[in-house]
Amino acid sequence: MNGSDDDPFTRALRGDLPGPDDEARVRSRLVSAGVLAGAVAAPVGTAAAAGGVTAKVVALPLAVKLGASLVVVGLVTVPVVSHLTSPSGSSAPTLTATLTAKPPALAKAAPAPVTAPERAALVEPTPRAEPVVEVAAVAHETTPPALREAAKAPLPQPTKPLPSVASFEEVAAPKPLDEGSLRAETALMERALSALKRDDVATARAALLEHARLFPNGHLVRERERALERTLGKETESHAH
Amino acid sequence: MAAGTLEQPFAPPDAGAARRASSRVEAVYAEYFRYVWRCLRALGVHPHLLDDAAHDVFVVVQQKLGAFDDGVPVTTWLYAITLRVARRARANARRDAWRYARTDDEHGASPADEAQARGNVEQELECEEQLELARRALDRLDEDKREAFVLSQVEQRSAPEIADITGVPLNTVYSRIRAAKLAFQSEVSRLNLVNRGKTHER
Repeated sequence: MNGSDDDPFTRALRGDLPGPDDEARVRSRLVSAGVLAGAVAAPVGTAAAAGGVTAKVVALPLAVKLGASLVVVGLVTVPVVSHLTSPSGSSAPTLTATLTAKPPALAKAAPAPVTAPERAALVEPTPRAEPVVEVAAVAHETTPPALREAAKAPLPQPTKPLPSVASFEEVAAPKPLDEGSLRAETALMERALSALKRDDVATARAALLEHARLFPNGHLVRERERALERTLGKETESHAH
Repeated sequence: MAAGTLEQPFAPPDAGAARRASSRVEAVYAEYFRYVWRCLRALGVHPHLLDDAAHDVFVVVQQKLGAFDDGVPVTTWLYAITLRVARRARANARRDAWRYARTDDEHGASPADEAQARGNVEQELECEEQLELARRALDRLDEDKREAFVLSQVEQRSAPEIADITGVPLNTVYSRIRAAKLAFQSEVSRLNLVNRGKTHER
């Protein structure tokens, strides 16, 4: 082998010419760049084919695009406007009929056809169902049978009559202020608190218990409980020491 | 035409001249695209950059056509542009080497697969193997020898024409061609031996 014309390797390099696809690809690029004039060669591959369709749509005259968009807008808006402006009973069939009659191009592009009952359900207003019925149906499906039987049984009647509204008011109403008992309560509490101040736990505890015995629901119940807590705390401290 | 004239600034022609220039570019493209492509490929432009490089060549043709000297063969002029575009593409590929890392199947399907697809024709398989081996041998040459070999042996340009294209003195061209032939021969022989060794190992 000597690199001459008879060399098979050099001949192989010489025969390494581009295919028609290569030439068409570069030509289309040069046409796009304005270097070459004339039509672009046939595109290669599906992506290029999709690009070709897009290019055709883009290349349509403006008047044609406007006309097509007006037709589409008219198809959509006219029935809707008539439905909104006229009484519902008379316009509902018109709207349904218009939506049913699709243009052929849209009918081809639709991925899955909508059945007639579904379309009617989408278009026509339906009366709202009673929520109680739906909840009852759901409860029937999810509740165990034993509970379902228990629910069917009649409710037990109360043995004692329920308190009336008036008795509730009586319980909740504040007591009328009794100055004599308040004064006695205050005297007991002052004695207990002064004993606590002196760390006389026994006297304080006796006074508080006396108050609890005489006035279990008195005016100073909260003060008595706080004083009792302090008394117990002091007792615990003294036992610890 | 010397290579230095390619660097002259481009002056936009008038409308009539633009139409004439466009038709001339069209004619140049129709007649020489295949050789431009082959030359770019043989000069070592990465397959991923071939479209860009070929595109660039004809963009330059369009820009420089107004200043083209009719006394010079168009092939000389065209190969001068192709050579410079190929140099730039190789430089770009070297700069972005991480992106264009060389692999065994960088030229697309392997020769064996392509031949299989064509009906397992033994002769085609042999041709593809020879082409692959020749490309590898070219890859082993340095740039000067590669350009001299491609222009003289693949594109079959004469030494004076190569001197015009590359802007190198004629004697240098002769010596480069001689050295390139020897280097290519030795690389092909070496790669052949390596391939035979691999075949025996299997």
